[in-house]
Amino acid sequence: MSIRVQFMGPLATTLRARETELAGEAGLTLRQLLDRLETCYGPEFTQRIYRTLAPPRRLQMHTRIFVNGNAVDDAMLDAPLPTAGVEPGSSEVLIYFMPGASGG
Amino acid sequence: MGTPAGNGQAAQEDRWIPSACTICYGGCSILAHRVNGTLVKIEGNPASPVGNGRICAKGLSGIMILYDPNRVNYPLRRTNPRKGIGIDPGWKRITWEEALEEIQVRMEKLRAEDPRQLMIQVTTTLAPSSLLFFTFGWAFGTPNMWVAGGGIHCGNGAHAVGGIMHASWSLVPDFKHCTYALYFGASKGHGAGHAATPNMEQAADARARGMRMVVVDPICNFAASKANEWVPIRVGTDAAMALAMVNCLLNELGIWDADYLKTKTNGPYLVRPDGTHARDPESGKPLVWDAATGAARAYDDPAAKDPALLGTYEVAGEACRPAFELLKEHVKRYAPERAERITGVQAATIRRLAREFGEAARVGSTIVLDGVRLPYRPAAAIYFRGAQGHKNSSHICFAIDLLNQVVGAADVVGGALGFNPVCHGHPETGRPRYVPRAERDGLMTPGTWMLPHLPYPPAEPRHPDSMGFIELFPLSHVSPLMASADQEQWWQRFELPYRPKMLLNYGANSLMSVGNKDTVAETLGRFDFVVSFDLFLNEFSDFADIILPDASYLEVLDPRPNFPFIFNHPAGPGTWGWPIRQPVVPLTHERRSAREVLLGLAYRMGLGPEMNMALNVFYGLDGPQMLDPKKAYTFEEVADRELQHKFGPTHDLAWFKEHGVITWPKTMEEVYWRPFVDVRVPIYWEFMLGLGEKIRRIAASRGMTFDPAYYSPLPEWLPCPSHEVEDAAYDLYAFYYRDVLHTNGFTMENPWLDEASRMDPYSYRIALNTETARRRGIRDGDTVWVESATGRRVSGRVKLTEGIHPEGVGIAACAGHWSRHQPVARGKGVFFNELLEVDYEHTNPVNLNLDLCAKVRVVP
Amino acid sequence: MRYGMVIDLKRCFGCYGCQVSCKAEHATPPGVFFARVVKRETGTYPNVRKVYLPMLCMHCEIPPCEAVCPTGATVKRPDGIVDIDRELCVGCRYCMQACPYEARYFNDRARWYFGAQGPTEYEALGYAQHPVGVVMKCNFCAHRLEHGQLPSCVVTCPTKARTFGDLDDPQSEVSRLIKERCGEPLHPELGTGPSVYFLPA
Repeated sequence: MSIRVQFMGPLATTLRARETELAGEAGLTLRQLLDRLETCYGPEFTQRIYRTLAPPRRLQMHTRIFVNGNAVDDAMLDAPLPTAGVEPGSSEVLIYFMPGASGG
Repeated sequence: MGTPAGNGQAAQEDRWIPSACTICYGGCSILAHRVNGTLVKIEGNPASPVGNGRICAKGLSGIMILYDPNRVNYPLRRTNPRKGIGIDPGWKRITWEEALEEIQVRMEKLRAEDPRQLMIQVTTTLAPSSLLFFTFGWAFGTPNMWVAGGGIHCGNGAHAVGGIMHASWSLVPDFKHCTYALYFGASKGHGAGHAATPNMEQAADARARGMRMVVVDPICNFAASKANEWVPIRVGTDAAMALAMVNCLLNELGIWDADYLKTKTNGPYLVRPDGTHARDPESGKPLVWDAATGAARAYDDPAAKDPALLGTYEVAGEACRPAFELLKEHVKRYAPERAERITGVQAATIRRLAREFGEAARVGSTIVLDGVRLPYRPAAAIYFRGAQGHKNSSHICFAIDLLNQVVGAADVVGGALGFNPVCHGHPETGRPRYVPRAERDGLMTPGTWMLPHLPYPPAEPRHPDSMGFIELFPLSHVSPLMASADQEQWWQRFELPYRPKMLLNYGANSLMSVGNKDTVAETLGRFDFVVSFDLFLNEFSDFADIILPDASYLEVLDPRPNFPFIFNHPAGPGTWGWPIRQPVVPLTHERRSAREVLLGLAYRMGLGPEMNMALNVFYGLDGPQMLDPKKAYTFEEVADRELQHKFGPTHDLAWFKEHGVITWPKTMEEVYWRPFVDVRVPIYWEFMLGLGEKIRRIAASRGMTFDPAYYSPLPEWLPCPSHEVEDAAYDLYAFYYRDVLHTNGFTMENPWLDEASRMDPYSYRIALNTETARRRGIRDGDTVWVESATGRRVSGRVKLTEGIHPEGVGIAACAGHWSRHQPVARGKGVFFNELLEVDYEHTNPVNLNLDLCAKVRVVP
Repeated sequence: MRYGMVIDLKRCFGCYGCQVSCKAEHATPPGVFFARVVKRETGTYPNVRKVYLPMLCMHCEIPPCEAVCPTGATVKRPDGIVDIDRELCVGCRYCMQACPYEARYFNDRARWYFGAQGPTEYEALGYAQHPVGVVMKCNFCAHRLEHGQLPSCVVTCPTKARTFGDLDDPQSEVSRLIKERCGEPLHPELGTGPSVYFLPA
């Protein structure tokens, strides 16, 4: 299975990368995919994906991961990635991180 | 108005259009009456729980904003290159295309160099709508965004503590069931703020029902004047009083809710002599001492049947004590007599109030609502801007909330309620759905939040690469360094790899809303280029290069004026309501909605994929409603998707435009959620120890230091800089309060509100205690100077009153406009913020809240 | 039938909602307030009380303004409302001197809120109902009552301090409130028989 990962928003600025393509075996979970990306991009990546580096690792509230157009939550991190991307047998993962500001 | 067809002709059009107010961030639901194209009346919308048909003076006066002849109607460009306070920019009318072309070229160049050179600034008045501006910033790739003045004045402390302890942005007493409400520097239900109008109705119901209300505040105005008791307090000392009250409850009266503390807080977690938790060596989970079996067990071990709250227990060779016991010991240092010296409130009063509060909480009692037996704790301690706007901000809010926590009056019937921490969603779609959940050490994190990083667990502090250093201080959300006197010094010391060059402003008048004007002016002068969307030219405009004529709230669309519900949806039992804001009159002149312009600009710059993804994240869109990164959308299309995503295809934008609001009932499990959700809150902030140390390691080598007491796990009263002024000539504390007639500095230009303010004894005056004034030979109506110990001063006319602490100088912020472009506002009231220093020294080193009091003298 | 209003001073906290709501409903010119809020302070520090008194025409049973009106412009309607016939008013202003509650205003000249910048679109439309040279005042929003709506100040009050109804009907909410909460008119000693009652704070 081929997995296309796009980094969007400030995450792309931080990682100095917009896109990467990985090969994944059937049954690969999103958490495993994120682990592989961590080895490529280091803690700069993981800090923005998870609320804390220590377990239990949970997704940052404003980091959204879309797999083939569907937003992922913590409960889906350990499910196998679906293979229903644009190309048959592929998967498209969009990772978006938003830093913040607010008030009132 | 009553007879709008005054010329005798029959009305061809006569419509009531449902929408939402935006004169403050309360966003109350309105009906706008339009006759033959003219807006003739604004009323509340009875179909919406966000006001129940009621609306305040500000909301009623929107017509005079819409039709103000001083509004900006065309894009303007400066011709005078010199920028400065009061220096005429020489505005020249340009076309939209000229304006957008210049902005695009500059932005693209900036983005190619380093997108962080763009700073985005919005006003708190428009806080919910302005969040869309942040999506542009995210798409652009800059972390430099802030609410000018908003967060550093009202929210960094109050909202973070609200999030950690109540999973919400703010607190109110359960107006329906509370019998004893203790307010510290808050006006919830008596004026401005989140859910302003609904709270007024609920607070009045509570008064009529007989809820006893005690208000601790330096000034007796909106809330205090309706309370059963006003307790005047020295400015900025609320934490000392609250801690003394907790001391009375725990050590003099023996009142606490052991069941609640054992199951819903970290009270039983064992603490080692070094202040950290004793942890299970395998799982790392904090240990409790199970009195039943006489053994230390993980806090969530089902075998720990009876976790001890008191005592000393040996674990791994160390004497460990439950966190509650440490709290109980800690507050002994705040004897009422000591608190009296700090606060000026008599020890006997503190003792009496503690007893009244403790007894009113009825620890152990239950009540049956809708057939369900629930904990009943009808006492609540509430804080907001007045109490929290000081250098010790986090501890103040924490200390006050401990009153709720020790008696178990948090998010249960009658107690202190967060604004809507739980929502199970609309019955047809289950959306929006969010529930607080247990995070590290079993402690609560909110189910939804206004910011990317949740208040708990705090994010890992990082060496900052943003202008405000919020990565270094993860419990902050807005930073004074965005406009401080010492910003360049800190940027150099931390080797910030860029400097802000361009500022994109949305309606904020930061020259007046942050602090003293000279400091802010200096920071604004550092930008090469400033673009501002505005309704009016104002004092800030003197620093702008291009002004873009914005649409008012009566001319724009917003699919979610009251979501997240933790922000400004009324709390407590009742009904959920999701209204929309929609244009009630068409745009005239060359005004455009800032958000449409920004969306267009993003597409124009090729930021479409990033912008659409930012919108997907911001609105939580996915599935069929997810915006395709490759396509371009109008804001109407985005709004349509947002509404269908939450409420299904039948409730699309067209449905909302007609009906205005969708409602469904709240359930008991949502409102009084605490017994139903398995989370704990920290009465002992162990995480502060490690957090403070991590920040110190990054900051100290750069010369940014702080007293570690700010990071102590239990709250302390720490003085403001104003308490440490030694020159006896400066003998008074100046503070500001929010006037019921005004929102920030925006509403003095509204002639109906201005007229009421001129009739009001206090709105435009400096409130001074009668006796204090007499001793200085100052008479009612005199014009005086208020001079700060740091050498700043403002003048205004005095209103003598018995309703202010003798050491207090009370000013309704933030008036005193001088721009000739706002002829109604000009010269009215007092510019309090001129007295405020904006620098790290006056900033809370935990949450970056600015200190908002000043030691002053009053001279003729 | 006698329309009357009860204002609960326990609920009111002086927000000016009534004042501005009235202004919006009637498009009254600057300085004219059919409804307004008076704020006073009593007591000495720290035992101080704030008094918030919402004012409007008291729609008296025996209106002193009616008695002095030379043209019959001021009328006491059968439903209890004291109103002014703008056609008959000649602007002599005797009524303004007679009214002990300062509820009447004289429209001496065209005025608008942005001064020399001229009337807004809203004001241009709304001021058509206020001829210059006549006296004006609260009429309990008679035009709204005709359409089954309550007066503007009643529907807007964020604290629900205002109740409107028939004082002649002992079962009405206003009658009940006056009885149960000891409602009193302002200055009853003047003997004008006001139709506006205040409930104690």
